[in-house]
Amino acid sequence: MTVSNCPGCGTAVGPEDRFCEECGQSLLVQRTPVGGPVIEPAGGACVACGGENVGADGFCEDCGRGQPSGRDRMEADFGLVVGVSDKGKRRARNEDSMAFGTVLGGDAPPTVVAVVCDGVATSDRADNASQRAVDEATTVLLDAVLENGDPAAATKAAVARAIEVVSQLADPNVPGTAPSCTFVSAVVTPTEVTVGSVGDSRVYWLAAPGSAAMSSRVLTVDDTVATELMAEGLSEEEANAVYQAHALSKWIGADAGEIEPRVVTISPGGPGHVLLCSDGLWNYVPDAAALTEVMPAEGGMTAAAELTALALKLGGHDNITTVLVPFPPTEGEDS
Amino acid sequence: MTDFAVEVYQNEYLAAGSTEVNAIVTVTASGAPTGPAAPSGSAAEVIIVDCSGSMHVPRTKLVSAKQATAAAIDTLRDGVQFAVVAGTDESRLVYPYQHGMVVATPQTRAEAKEAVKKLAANGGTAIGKWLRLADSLFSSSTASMRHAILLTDGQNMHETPRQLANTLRDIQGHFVCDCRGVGTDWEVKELRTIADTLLGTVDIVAEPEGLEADFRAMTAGAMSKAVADVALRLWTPMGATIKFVKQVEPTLADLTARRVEVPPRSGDYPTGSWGSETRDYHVCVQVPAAATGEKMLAGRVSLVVPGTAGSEEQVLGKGRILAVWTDDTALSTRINREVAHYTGQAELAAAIQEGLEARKAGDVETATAKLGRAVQLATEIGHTDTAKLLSKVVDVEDARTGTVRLKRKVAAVDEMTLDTRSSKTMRVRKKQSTES
Repeated sequence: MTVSNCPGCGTAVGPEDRFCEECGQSLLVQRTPVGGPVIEPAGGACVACGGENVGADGFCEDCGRGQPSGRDRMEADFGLVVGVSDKGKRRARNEDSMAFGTVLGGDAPPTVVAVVCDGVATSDRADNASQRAVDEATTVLLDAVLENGDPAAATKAAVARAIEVVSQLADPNVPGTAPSCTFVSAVVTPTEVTVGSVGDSRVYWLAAPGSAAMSSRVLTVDDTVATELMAEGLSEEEANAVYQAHALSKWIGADAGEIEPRVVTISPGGPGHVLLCSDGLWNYVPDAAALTEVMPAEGGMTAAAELTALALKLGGHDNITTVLVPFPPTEGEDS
Repeated sequence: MTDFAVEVYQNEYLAAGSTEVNAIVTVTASGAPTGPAAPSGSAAEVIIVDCSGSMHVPRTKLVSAKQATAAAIDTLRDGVQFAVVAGTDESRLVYPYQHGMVVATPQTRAEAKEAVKKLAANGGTAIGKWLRLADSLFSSSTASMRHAILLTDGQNMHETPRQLANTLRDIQGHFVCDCRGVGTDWEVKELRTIADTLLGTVDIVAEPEGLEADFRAMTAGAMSKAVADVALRLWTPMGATIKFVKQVEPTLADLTARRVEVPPRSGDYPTGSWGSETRDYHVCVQVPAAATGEKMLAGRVSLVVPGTAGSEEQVLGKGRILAVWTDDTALSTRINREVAHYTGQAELAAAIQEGLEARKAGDVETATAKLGRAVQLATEIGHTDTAKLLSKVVDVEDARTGTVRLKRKVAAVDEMTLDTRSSKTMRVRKKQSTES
């Protein structure tokens, strides 16, 4: 593979270069920008009337329609990994964040890392918390891949780093509103998928139709009151009936206490997709087999956008974040 | 330099399919210069005194009107241009002695007061002619702040309503006119129309003795204005319809029909002269519905101040009226208290005016229903001044339910006071913080 331009800053680089002379970034890595893949407002034509008269404040000067801008709708497509994060229909802000990157070429096998965090809506600056968490965790994971580190150990380090940066956002004078978020991550190599989780965002394994791989399933366990009660022997029905059954029992934040992420590594044994998502998606289609049914088989941006559209159609009650990685991460073309 | 700040109070969330957007726009002007001397030639004042024969009955009316005019003249700042007009079925310039206006100095003020002392009452009432003379006097002045005081005690008998309407159409926008009715023989509706068209206030001065303080206050108010011919500019999106634009505080005034188009998609509504003060406007816009989750700019409000001496007009302050469609009924059904407050006040004014109209026409049923509703609204809003005025026209059995009986005998002054002051509103007590 020949890289002719730095994926970070666009500067021309030589075929033998491993690092960009301009920005110092590894030429093997392509990642989402720190702060999120934010669409700049007032770019092109109005999304509603098609007019070319979008004002600086993000509204069309003709039809008045607010243009999707900033964090309301974030999209990124690196071929091997795609993601869509949408505000949904009822929330005032998008407090979900996503970050991901690829490592292609070099000594390591082609690897994708992805992180999704869902800001806890009752906390302050939850969007800030989730964005810092995904950006820092992705850096930790990409660095580990470049150094051929152990994915499970890297996942734990990424969670520790996320806790550290989110805790820094807390206002020591206001303990009740410490910014906080959930966390899911995946490190996808040609042979294995390593998943980490804290809170109620999920990672799914979605087997390709007719694939010899293991069947579709949820790879994470929700850290909620209900799942903890079920672990103690209550039936699903009984657990879901308790007060605040779906409240988080674990989260990332200054007030989270001592927490360890759940980390699992699987070998799917055949082609499929790894899906990272916030509860804005899986609340509408929680079942892994059902998700496999509704997801367009070609994967990629089409599939991520369609899953997001489905959640919007079913109500869009919460922020919706969908990140898709094909397994093994070698089929699609890299960009 | 006067600056304008615009704040918008609304519930921007709309249920799916809803199209009506309501907002209260608070405009605050600040930084108006204060001091004893107006910049020379920036302000002009014309005082119009009714000198029809009826001003002699009772005798105190003309005596008080002269004293009040003298007090107003004393309140004029040095440097302000002024004139005094006597109105009958004709109009006559009392001071200065030649057509035009003079600059207020200790000497001209003394001369003017001498001329006013000699006024006699004799003849009829043709208010349109008085206003035309005032307009012609103002046109001889280069002052930007133009204010008139109009005092009358009778109905416009000596010209047709059409003549008056034509005059108002011709002179509107040329000057601001505060109108006062003395006694109880004048027509509330007539004077209100004049005041509304000329962006001024209307009030009753039941006892002639009250005129002096009122004239002094009106003149002082006019002297405190710093910027004239300010317009409220409203931008609305393609496909939108403006249902109304009303001033709702300090008094009610419907500006909807006063729109002057400013292409593309904006219109200016005249607001007259401003000092350092705050006014509230209720804007109601109908927009094309969009899908839930969509956000729309339903309106943008700013203030347009004409440029001085050839400079460009200035567009100051910017307020955004939003529409966000949601499925969440907890959001879309939330009532904005500012909007509710002024909607209630507008309904209160309408109920009073319609109720009194029905009462005059002998329609007891409608009058009782409307005035009952008015009592109920005044109680709900806490508008105690209006409640007090209402209780002189109806016997209140239950204010909460609006159960009333019309009083058999009502003093003309009480009825006219209630009617005149029905458009006086009460400021909403603003919340400390607004929801995001």
